[in-house]
Amino acid sequence: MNNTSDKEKKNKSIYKSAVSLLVIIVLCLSFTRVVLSNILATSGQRLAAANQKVQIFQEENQTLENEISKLNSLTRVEELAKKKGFVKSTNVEILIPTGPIAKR
Amino acid sequence: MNHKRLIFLEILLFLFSAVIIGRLFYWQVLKHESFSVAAKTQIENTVLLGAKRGKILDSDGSVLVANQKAYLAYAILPEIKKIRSKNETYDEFVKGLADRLTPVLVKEKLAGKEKVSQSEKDAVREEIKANILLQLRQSDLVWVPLARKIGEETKKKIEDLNIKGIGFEEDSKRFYPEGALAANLLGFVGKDEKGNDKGYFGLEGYHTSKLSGRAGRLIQEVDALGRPILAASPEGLGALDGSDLLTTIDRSVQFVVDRKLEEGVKRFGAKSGTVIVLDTKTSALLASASYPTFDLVDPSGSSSESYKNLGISEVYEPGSTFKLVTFSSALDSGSITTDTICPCKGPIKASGYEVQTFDNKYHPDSTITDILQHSDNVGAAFAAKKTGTDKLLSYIKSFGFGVSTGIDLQGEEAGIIKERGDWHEIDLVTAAFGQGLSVTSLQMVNAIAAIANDGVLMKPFTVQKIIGPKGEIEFKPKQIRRVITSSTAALMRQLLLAAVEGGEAKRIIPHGYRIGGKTGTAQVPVAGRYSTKTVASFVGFGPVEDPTFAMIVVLFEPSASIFAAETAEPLFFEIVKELYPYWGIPVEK
Repeated sequence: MNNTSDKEKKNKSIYKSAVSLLVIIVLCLSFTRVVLSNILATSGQRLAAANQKVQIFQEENQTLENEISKLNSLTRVEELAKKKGFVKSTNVEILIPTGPIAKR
Repeated sequence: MNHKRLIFLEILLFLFSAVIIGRLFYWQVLKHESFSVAAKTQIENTVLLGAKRGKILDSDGSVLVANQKAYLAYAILPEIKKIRSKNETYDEFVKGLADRLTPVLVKEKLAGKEKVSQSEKDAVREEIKANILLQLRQSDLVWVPLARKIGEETKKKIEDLNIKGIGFEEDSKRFYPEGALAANLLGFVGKDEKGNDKGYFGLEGYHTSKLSGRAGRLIQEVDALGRPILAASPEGLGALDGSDLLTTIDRSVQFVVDRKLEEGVKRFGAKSGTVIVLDTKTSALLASASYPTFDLVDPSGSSSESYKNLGISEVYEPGSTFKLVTFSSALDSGSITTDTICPCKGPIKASGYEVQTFDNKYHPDSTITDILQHSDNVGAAFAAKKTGTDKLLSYIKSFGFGVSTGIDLQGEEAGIIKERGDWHEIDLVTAAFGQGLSVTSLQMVNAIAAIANDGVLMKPFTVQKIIGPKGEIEFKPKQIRRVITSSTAALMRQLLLAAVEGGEAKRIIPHGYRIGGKTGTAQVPVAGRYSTKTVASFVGFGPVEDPTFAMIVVLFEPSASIFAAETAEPLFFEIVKELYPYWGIPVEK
């Protein structure tokens, strides 16, 4: 009789521990989910900010590329050359290499 | 009593439940669709993702066309109306607004233009003001556009005016670092019937679908403040940017050709003109210019005629430049040899018509070299007759005349070559010196490029690579066919060199450039008769020993002189003189 009651008591205690553990796990998981959901939801703000930054950089890159192209344009190069006093050569000599320049 | 109260309470509860159930039925069943749409619009945000239009690059990767940020300025009329003072009419108020906005927009429109007369300025001012008034007077509308594609600076200036109700929408527009360079070759971007950007003419027109890419749409869940919620992954289709075009255009050659053509058209009093430069080995287009041209930034300010690339869109009777086809055909078919002598004693008769030389001078017992040097129509007719209609027509078609070359530019014409059944003796004779048929400048220069390329005709092309976000497509030079044998081509090159060095312009052209070519002065037919107006052209290649380029210069209706030897040919050599040092081609002393 005593043995049976001990067993029942032991089973009850295991059952109680299991339920407590389960409750703790459920609580932990719920809390984790709330935290993660919160992080996920608020990171939208960071994403929006990052997207905006990317767009700004892309626009800046485009502006700089256009600036380079403009500075590199032939019309501008010609204007600058004229301002610096360059004149067009009327006597251009073109050398065609027919063999090594120096031979032993 | 208690029982009655209980029943009353039960009825009350029942009615209350019925109302709630009824309301729920109304919301969830009857109004399900509209509420779900309303909920969707609250939590979903649709972002339209614009695709960037591709760039156009020259052969070394330098930018010819790119994009820059622009804005659409608009007015919200209900907001605008709020700032009207009570003692002025709506029309007076609108005029006042137009007066404030017009100077800023005029400045934007005229920016980059070098010399603008007062009358032009006034016309632009009137046009802009009229447009603003037209838009603002539509008082029954809520949103009206005021100006499209304005720059950052203009946007700031309008903002500084501090007019409530004026807003801006981001947009982009084309940017041309080289200004108007190669305008007719590049084409421009306008709007289609739906208001979307679309390319017209030239490369922009031909490759518009590749350049424009595909706009995207992104649907994402957002919070109450409109910030994206990452828990739900966004749906939709991402934008695909347009592809870049790496062309075969050499901007230095284009620069020289553009400037020289403008000078030439003005100097020789021509109505218009065109120049095309091809690589002889591949028929890659190195440069192509047309004049008059148009303003790339504001094409609407130029006449629509100026949009055309005359090199591919204008067909004309080539005149004596076509003799190179006649003699290539005659020599290649064995109908004549270099020893053949033409009697060439005087005018000849064909189908009842008399055919003369251009100066009515005759050179009996002429060789082929003599005929080409004198540009003798009678001698060319003699060679054509020896060849026969069937063979000559076959060679003409083989050289690529009568069909478009298939170049990747919008607006190419095919020219007109009559069908065999319509050829009579007179057609054979006139075709020999390039009359009674029509060609484009591109066909003509590609034909001479075939002679320079050992007799092999290549397909002209402008884009060598399409660089897209998903990869690259490379275009290799494409051989169309062998037109004449290598030996005939070599012989023709020498004959064309002799035609230049001993031709009509031998005293006015610089020597040592080893150019083979032919002049052409063709009368322009008007109402079925030849007029005194001419098309003066020169088509050539160089250096004869190892040709690298072929070029054509065409002047339509020059007035300083009607002859090609005094107009187109000297202009050809002026261009060559600038290009030889650039290409590193030595000049013989």
